[in-house]
Amino acid sequence: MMARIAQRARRGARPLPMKARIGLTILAAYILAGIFGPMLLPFDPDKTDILRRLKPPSNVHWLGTDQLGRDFLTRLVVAIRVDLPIAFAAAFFPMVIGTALGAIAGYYGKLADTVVSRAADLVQAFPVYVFLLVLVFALGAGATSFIVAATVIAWVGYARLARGEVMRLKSLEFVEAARVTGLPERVILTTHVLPNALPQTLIYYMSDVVLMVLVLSSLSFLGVGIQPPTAEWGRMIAEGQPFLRSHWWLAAAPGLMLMVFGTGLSLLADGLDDWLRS
Amino acid sequence: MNSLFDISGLRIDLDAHGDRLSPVGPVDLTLAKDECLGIVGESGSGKSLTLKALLGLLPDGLSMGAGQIRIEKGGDLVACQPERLRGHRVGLISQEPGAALDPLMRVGGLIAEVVQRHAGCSRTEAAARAVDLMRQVGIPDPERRARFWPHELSGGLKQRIVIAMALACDSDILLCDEPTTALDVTIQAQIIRLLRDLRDKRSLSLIFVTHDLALIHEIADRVAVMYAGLIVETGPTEAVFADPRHPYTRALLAAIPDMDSPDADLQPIAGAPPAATEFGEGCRFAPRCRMSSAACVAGQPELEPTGAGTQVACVNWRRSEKDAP
Repeated sequence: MMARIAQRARRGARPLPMKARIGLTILAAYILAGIFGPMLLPFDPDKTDILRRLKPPSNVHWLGTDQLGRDFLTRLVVAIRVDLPIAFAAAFFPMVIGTALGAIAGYYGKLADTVVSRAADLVQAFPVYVFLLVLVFALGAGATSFIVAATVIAWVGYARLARGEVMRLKSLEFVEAARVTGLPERVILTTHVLPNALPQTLIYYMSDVVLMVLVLSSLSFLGVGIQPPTAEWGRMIAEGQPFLRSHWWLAAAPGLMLMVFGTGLSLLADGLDDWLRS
Repeated sequence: MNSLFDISGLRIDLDAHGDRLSPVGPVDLTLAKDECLGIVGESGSGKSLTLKALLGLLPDGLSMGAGQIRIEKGGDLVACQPERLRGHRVGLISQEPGAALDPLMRVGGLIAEVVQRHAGCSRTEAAARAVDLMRQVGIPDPERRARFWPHELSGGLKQRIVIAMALACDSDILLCDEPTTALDVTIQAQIIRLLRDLRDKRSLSLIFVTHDLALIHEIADRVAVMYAGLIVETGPTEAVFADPRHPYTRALLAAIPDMDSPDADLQPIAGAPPAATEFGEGCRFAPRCRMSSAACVAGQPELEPTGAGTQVACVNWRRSEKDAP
């Protein structure tokens, strides 16, 4: 799939739309900053220095220090290593499971469809945040339980998407043609139907990652996500909140990091969608 | 005659809220070895559905209600399930070659997949044989073209790929469902020539469905004319075209523009073919027939031999057009 996208881009059939390029640039900047930033910055993100707390931006601390005297820029950058991998993973597992279940439901129909569709209804009957909070509470706060809880809930979207796409694709003539050549149904589903449904899934995945990073930081803000002292944007917003009047950037900067990341990935997803459709 | 493929009493049923409608059948067809059987009829006459039924590919809601499909095996005709014919004995060439190819697979890979499945050989061997098959169906520069995506090939080349996929199964019977309708005339001629060549070289037998009478005349040894789900006239192509006995066949032939007298009026067939809900007790063509009589509405006429090698399902086949009131 990625290879095919890369290949299409290389062949230069159609240039990527501007929004996709902007999105790709933002995503690349975050990933590069996450990989190399902590190596370049001289501070330990978790080392407190109570005497140098709440310093304004200076030559040494470019964005000042937080309420425990930790270098704020370092923590903002180190948080990329927390928020991004967890968000990508929390959307990845539901993608794999949901797409598989939805494809089976859409392709074979009958009992498989009934079981998957009713299970999806069951999950969707609960309000997302309430269900998520309950699950995270039950499993205990932390990255792993967040990913597990997200998987339990978010597979539904992928399943519905894959089910619809597969139902559309299976009535197309090339699927019938594959059947005529005697290929077994399982092979037709995995080699001819699913690959054609993947572009839509991948685009949905990107917008789902945006949602996941917001959900993760919301939970952390509420204290049931990533636990201190780990640097995480939602947690940092919560910690900066008491100083909003004197040190507004302590809450605003992590919010901005979230916003730019979400916007970038959404632009990329939207641009890729346009590009694949055109 | 040495039968290779024999269909008897084929009926396709449509389940309409408990009522049974049969848009097709009962239909009897026989295909001899190395023969090309043409099925002609207008849209909705059931010719494509008949082909689909032979491979068990009827759309949802339709089913094969009755009939037996037999295929030659070791000198005998044996009954066979339509699904079991797929992928070895019987191949299908469809109308729209662009839609029949998975857009996300290289054309060489599409053929190789079938080869690998069918011959159980290794990947590299399958790829090599795919290129070889592409050469056999007349694709120039097959090594390079094997790496093309379907959208990079023209309609004619795509249809050749579809034919190569059928050959990859070592099918000895090819069902062709208007294989040239979506192609322009010169490409049409090339594909027809290719099918003919393959028929001679690989001793393929063809069932060729089309509404193009000129094409049928060119390629088919025998022809079956379908109207409203039934075969109304069948026989050797020459005999049927030279002396059509069924009023519908006559009307079809009369509706072809005559190139020698371009000013002559076309003779259309008045009305439209009936839907499956409108099939009556009598002859289904009677409402549009210029020769219909009281006997026509009494019951569906059976196919009967005319003596000239053809069979016709019309009570008035002995009367000529001039006798019509």
